[in-house]
Amino acid sequence: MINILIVDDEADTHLLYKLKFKKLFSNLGELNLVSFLNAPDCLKYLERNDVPPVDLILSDINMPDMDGFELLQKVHEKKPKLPFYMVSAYESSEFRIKADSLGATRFLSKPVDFHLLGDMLKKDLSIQT
Amino acid sequence: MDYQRDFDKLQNNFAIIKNSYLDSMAEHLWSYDTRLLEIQLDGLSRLQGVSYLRLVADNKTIYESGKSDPSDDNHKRFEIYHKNTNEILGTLDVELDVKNLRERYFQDAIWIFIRQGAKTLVVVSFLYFIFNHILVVHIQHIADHLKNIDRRNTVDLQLKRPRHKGEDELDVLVDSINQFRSDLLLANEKLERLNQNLEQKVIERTRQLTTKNESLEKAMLQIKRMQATLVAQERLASLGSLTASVAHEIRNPLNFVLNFSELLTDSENIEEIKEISRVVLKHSQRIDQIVRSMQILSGYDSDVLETTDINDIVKRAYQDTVSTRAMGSSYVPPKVTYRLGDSIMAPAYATSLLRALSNIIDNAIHALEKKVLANKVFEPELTLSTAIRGETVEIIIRDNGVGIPEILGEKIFDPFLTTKAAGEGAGLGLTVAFNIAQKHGGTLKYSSEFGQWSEFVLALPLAHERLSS
Repeated sequence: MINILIVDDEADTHLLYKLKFKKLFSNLGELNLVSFLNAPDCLKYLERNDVPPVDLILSDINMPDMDGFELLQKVHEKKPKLPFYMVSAYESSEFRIKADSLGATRFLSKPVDFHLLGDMLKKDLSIQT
Repeated sequence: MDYQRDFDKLQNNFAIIKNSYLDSMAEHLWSYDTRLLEIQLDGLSRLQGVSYLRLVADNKTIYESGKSDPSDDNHKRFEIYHKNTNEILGTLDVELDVKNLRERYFQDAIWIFIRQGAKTLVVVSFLYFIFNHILVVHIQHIADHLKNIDRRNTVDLQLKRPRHKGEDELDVLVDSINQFRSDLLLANEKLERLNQNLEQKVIERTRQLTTKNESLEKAMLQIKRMQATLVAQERLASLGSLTASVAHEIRNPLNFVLNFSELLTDSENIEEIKEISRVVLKHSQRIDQIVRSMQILSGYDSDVLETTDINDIVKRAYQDTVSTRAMGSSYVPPKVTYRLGDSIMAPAYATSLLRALSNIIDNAIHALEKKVLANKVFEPELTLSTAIRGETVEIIIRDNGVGIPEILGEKIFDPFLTTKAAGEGAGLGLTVAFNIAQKHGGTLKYSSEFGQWSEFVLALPLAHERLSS
């Protein structure tokens, strides 16, 4: 089973991922999506021992309280090899470079191309497994 | 004195004549010995100082000699008596030569005066010569020297006289003058040097100041250029960031619209289709709102300025806002209080004004919603008022919601500043409202107490210049 965490402050994102993943990525095997409306909740989840190991994090950048970059840094402090995808509506080279330098695995811009995301997941997760 | 003595001596002649001659003369007269009388009288006439003699006897002049020049003090008449009978034999007139004496003394006096004058002159000349030689010449020399002292003559004052031992007052004077002159020269030199220094300093300072001024001017120019560049960059940057912000705001709902509508094409679950359609509609509206706001902000709208019932617009704005919120199942306040003035008509861009008021009212309701969520017993109040104040119409939107942090200040009118959760607002509401107020030639101001209340006042001019013209 593949465990993916999704962090985005817009609630509709989670519905979107849920439906899209169900339709497009059934061939990836069993997927378990866990959604968070903010970064701190995600961090709390990662510290828990009673949850299955996380395989990948998909995070928005612009969020109140803590943005995607900070979340990436905090996650990599504990789990440096955990794949981390950045998703942002800001299509700027500045964000892309910052995400790269902080060690993000991928940088996706909104609107999300789910076919591209599917290819990336296949590649990155098969390397893992 | 001499004169008085001589005069007395002369007067004494009268006494001599009286004592010595009169008796014998009486005898001779008595005997009438004219020869002897003549001898005697000749002798008498030769007596010193006797100028006139006349002997009269029996009214007959017996003897007369000299010139008569009678006066009180030189004339005397002697009566010649017979020594036994006391008979007057004759009279003797004697005149003394006082005039001569006087003249002589006068001449003497003049002579003495002249002699004394000459003597004095000689002595004075002599003294003058000596004085001149030992003093005046030197003083003149000193005076000449002093006259030329200012003409930078460097020669010391020296007396033109042989050297001698000791020091007299002239030497002291000369030394003092020389000392004074050299001191003066020294002082002058010092002063001149100081002046020159000062002049040089002034020149130097002036030069420095000029240089500084020039560099300042250069710096100013540079700053101006930099400012211009900055302004241009700022414009580009703000255009860039505006574009980026707008892109971001549109990409987010577009992400849903695109991906959800893709799902719609091959979904067969009717519940799922319904839910997806609702989400697609919601995010399409978001995009629509953003595009409208951008249009209002950029001025590309088809609104017309016309006399409008402001109270009507206020009511419609509230109703629109509430119904929009209800459609998205958002919070709606239980009541609203209107405090509207009587028939307020003012020129307005009706659609824009409606949008501005809706935006402000939506924010007010949002502020109430936040407080309601935090505090169940809180009683939300929203008051909408209109009033004419001077030349303007004031539309006041007041709520007792969460208020606005003081730190935000005028930033609340900045584009893309929002306190709402993601997807609820793009941060353009107040920016648009502010622009619409300006478009009317009016203002949008607010006051607030954080945690207590907020009040927005949109003021519109009663007479718009574009309408009146």
